[in-house]
Amino acid sequence: MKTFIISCICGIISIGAWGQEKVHQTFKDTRVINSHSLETLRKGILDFRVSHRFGDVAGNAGGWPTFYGLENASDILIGFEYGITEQFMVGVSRSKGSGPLRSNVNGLLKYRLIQQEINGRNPFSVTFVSVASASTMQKSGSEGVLNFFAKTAHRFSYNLQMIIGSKISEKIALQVMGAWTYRNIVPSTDKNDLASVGFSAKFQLSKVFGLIVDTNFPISELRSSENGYYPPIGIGFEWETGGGHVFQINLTNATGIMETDYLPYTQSNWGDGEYRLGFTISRHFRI
Amino acid sequence: MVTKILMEKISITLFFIFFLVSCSKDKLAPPDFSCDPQPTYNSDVDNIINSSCAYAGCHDGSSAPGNFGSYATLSGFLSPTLFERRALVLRDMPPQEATGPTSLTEEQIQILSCWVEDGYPEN
Repeated sequence: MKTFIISCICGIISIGAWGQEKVHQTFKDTRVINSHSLETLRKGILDFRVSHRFGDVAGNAGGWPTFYGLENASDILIGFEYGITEQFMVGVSRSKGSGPLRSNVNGLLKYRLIQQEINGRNPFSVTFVSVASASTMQKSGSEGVLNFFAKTAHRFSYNLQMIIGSKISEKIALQVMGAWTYRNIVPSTDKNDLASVGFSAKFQLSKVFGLIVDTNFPISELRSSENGYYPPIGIGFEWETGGGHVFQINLTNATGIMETDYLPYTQSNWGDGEYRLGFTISRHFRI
Repeated sequence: MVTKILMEKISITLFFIFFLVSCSKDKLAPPDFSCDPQPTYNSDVDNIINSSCAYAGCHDGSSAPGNFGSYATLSGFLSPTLFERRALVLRDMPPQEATGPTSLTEEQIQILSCWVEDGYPEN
């Protein structure tokens, strides 16, 4: 099994059929709102990222007492990502976390297998994303909680994802995602595996300003609204301020920023006012 | 160029080797406590909430959101995303910086779990 998986990965990255005229900037950033976009960093670019999700805007935990969530922080992420080639990037980040496993250190590998071509044979881009999150939370003394950490492996969660998308016009970009999230330890009533599908879109309103929407749907009977779980949905704006600086501002019901967090643990409901303001600042440096 | 491609392959291969060797498929053991007699707000829960949450300066209608001092004013927060999530799933309530208790005891968590499981009965 191990040999098979490693062989597949090596086979994928050895495919070298690249066209001449590539489509760039299908999305402005490597993230849409919660989800990864199909974009990878260009070779030699270092991306310093800061993401923030505030508390509930409305509902019982929002409103005036918390200044509409702005006095609370659901999750915060600080990270660095780097484009090793035009198609392959790596990253490391630290996130506060919003689920049962917090204080996470996250690793990222992202590889664009196929890049859309202008009038070429590839009308789509295809990108693979792999994320590993390690919780550095203090070990609990209580056996009944996830952060009891009977094994070191219980600190780890993973997300693998395939993204297929296209810039269908100068103003519209679409992508669909299929993902598999795996947690090494889960509550007795949960499952370690979680599949999900997603959809993201960008509508470019001007040269530097775009409207972005982002949805993900976990595929599990355990992730229903009857059980208190809701699909993470976001809407926002992205603004390219020039000089390699992208700013995103959004509203989403997801409390976590990482895939290993918001896909299995989104329990906030837009309908109950449990959505929050969020932003991401991305600053590029040429190394 | 060759070095970059090599780095790609090494990075991806190392990631998957790491993934495979650090993988486990474990679940927490189901809780082994009994909910008999079934706790209610008036029988057990009010004491826990009043001493751990609804004291002066916290969830008493002053600083933190809500007034948890009575069933009527607490009921708006009795949902999987609020009370249950913070006190029983995340267990970040009461918080470390609280002026009162900074955690619930295992017995208190068991009582609250039974109460939540039964649909937050008042009596």
